[in-house]
Amino acid sequence: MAMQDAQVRIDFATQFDGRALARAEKQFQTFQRTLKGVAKSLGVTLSVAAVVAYSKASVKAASEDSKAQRVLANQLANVGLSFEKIRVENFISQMEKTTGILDDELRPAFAQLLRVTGSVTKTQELLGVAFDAGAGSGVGFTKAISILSQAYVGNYKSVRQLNLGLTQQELKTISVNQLIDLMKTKFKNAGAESVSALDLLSVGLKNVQEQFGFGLTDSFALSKDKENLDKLTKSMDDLQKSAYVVGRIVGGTISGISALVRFISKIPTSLPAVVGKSLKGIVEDYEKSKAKAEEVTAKQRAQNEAARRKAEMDAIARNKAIAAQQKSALLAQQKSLALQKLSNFLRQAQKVFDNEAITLAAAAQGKLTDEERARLKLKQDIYDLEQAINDGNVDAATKIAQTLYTDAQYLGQLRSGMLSLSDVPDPFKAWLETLKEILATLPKTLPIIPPTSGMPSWMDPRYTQGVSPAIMYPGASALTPASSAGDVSSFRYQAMADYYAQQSNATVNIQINPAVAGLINVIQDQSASGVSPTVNRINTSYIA
Amino acid sequence: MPVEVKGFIELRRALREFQPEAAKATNRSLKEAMSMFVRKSKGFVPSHAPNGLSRWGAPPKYGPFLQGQRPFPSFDATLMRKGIVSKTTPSKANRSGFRSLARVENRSAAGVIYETAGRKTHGDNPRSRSRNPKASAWFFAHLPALSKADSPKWQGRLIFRAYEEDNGKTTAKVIAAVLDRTKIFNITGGTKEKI
Repeated sequence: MAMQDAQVRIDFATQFDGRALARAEKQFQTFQRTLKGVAKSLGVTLSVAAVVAYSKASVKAASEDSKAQRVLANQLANVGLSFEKIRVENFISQMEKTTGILDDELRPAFAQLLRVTGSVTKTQELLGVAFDAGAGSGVGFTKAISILSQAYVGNYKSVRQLNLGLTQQELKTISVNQLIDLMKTKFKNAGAESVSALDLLSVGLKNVQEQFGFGLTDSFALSKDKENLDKLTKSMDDLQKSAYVVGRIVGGTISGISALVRFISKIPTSLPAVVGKSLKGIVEDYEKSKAKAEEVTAKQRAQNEAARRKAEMDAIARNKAIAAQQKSALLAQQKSLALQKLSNFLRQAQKVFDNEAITLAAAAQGKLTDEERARLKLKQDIYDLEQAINDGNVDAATKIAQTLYTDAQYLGQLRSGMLSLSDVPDPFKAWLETLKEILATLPKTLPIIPPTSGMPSWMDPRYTQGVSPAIMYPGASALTPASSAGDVSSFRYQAMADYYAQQSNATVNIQINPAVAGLINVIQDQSASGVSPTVNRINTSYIA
Repeated sequence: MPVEVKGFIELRRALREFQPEAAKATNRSLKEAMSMFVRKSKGFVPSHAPNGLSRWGAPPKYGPFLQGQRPFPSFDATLMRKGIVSKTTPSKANRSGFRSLARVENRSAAGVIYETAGRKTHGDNPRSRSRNPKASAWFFAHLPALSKADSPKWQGRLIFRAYEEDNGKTTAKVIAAVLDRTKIFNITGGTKEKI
C-alpha cells in the first residue's frame, strides 16, 4: 500500500503557521529577481499610461461587479436565504468558467429566477436550462431567462419564441415541469457546444481585471494621500491611448500562447514583491478575512440546513399550487365549453317545440295523447337541463341530457308513422344529432361519465380510464366494511389501495369484513367435516 | 470545517520538553477522541465489492504498463479498513499556512476511490473520447450514494459520511481533549516530571 501524504482526510483541529508563508515569500523574492532579469533581456518596460488606463477600467469593472454582488445578496436576503450567499457565488463562479457568460449577466439572471422560484436549487437547475435553451433556440441567455421566469408562473406567452414545436392547444395544457423537461430534451448540450475557448479566455481576462480593480480600490480607500490621488484620477483621462500601444507591444513581444500562460501564472506570485509591500501582510489579511467570512459553526450549519429545507419545501408547494391553478383553470374552461354547447342545444330546441300550443292543448282537452305526454316530458327535461346549466352542475346536466336524448328518441318514434305519410321534414332529426354529438364528446373532455344503468360496480369503466378512485367513490373511505359489504367491493378497496400507495405519506388500512371472515370460518368448518364447500351470492349476501 | 487552535504546537513542544509522559498522554487522548470516528468510518467499508462491480474485487491484471503507471487498485476491504487512520502529528502547512493537529485520513488507493468516486462528474461527459464512455456512469451507479454536503469536497462514502453523521461530536471531543491538556499543563506550571 503506497502511503504518501493523504489528500483525502478530515482535519478536526488546525493551527495557523506563519513560518510557511515566510518561506513562500522568500521564494517569491527569488522569482522576482529572475523576472527582472527576463524583462531586461526582453526590453519590456511597462508604460505608466497603460497601467493607469488599465487601472481605470479595472476599477469600473470591480465597481459594477460589487454592485451586482450586492443586488444578488439583497435578493437572497429578501427570500430568507442570505446564508446561501457563498454557495451561490461559488456556483456563479463555476458557471462563468464553464459557460463563458460573465458573472455580470449571471447574477441578475440568478436574482430574476430566484424571485419566482424561491429555491436556490431550482434556480440553479433553471439557469442550466436557460443556458442551453438560449444557445439552442438562438434567443440568447438573457431572453431565455426572461421567458423561463415568466413560464414558471404560468405565463407561456413568450415560450413560442423558443420554437419547441408545441401547438397552441398543447401550450395551454402543458405544465411547468413538463415544459422544463421538454426544453431539457430539445436543447440538450446546446449550450456546451456553443462555448468557444475565446469566450472562456475573455471571462478569465475580465475576472483578472475585476480583481485588480478590487485591489486598487482597496488601496485607494486606505491611502491618505488625497492630493496625489486626485492627480492620478485626472491623469487617467489623458493616458488612454497608451493602453492600445502597450497591448500591441506586449502581445508582440511575448511570442506564443504557452509563453503568455507562463508569464501570467507568475504574476500573482511576483507582483507583491515588485510593489514592495509585505507579502505576508497581504496574504494574512486576505486569508483571515476569507476564513472569517466562511466560518460557519455547527449550530449555524444546522440552522442553515433547516432554513434551506424549508425554502425548498416552500418552493415545491408553490410549484404545486401553480400547477393546481393551471389544472383548475383548464377544467373550468372545459366545463364552461360543455355547458355552452348544451345551452346552444336548448336554443335550438326553442325553434323545434311549440310550447304554447302544448300547454294550451293540455289545458283545453284535460287529457293528453302519448305524443303530447312525451312532449311534456321533454319539456320537463329541458327545464331541468336549464336549471342544471344555471347551477353549473355538469354531472346533473349530463345525466339529464342522457334522459332527454332517450325521451326525444321515443317522441321521434311516435312521429315516424305520421311523417311517413307526408313530406313534412322531421324537425327532431338534426336536433337529436346535435345532442348525440354533445353526449359523445362530453366524456372525452370532462372527467365525468354518463350514468350507466345496471352496470356492476366492479365494471366501472372510469377505473380503466385512470380516474382516481377517490373521485369515483368519494365516500368509500368513510364506509365501514360492515356497512358496505355490497356497496364497496374488494375491487374498489384494491383500487383505492393502489391509488393511495402511490401517494407519499399516505396510510392505507384494509380491514376484512367480519361477515366475510365469518364466511371463511364456515367454509373451513365444512372442509374439515369433509363436505365440499360452495358459496352463493344472493343480492348483497353470501351463503355458504 | 476544522477548528483553529492557537498555540497547541508550542504546547506539545513544551510537553515533550518538560513532561514527556504528558505529551504521550496528549496523543493518546486525541487518538481516543477520534477512535469512535475511525471505527464508524471503517464500518462503512463493505466486505465485498458492490453488486455489479465484482470484477473490482478480483486481483488486478498486470499488463504492459508504462513506467510510472500502475493498474486500477482492486477492492480489498481489509486494506481499505487499514487505510483509515487517525493522526496527531502536525502536518506540513498547506497553501494557506494551516497545519493539521488531529485528523482522520483515508490512505488506501481503493479506499480513496470508493470514498470520492462521483464527486466531480457523474459519467455523463458528452465530450468523452473514451472507448467505453459509459464505464464511469456504470461504476458510480453501483456505488452507494455520496453523503450530503454543501460542497463536493465534503462528500464521501467513508470518512466524510461518518463526519456528516457525526454532527461535530468528534470535533468537540478533540477540542475538549486539547483544552484539558492545556489546563493540566497550566495547573502544573510546566514543572518538569520526575523520571
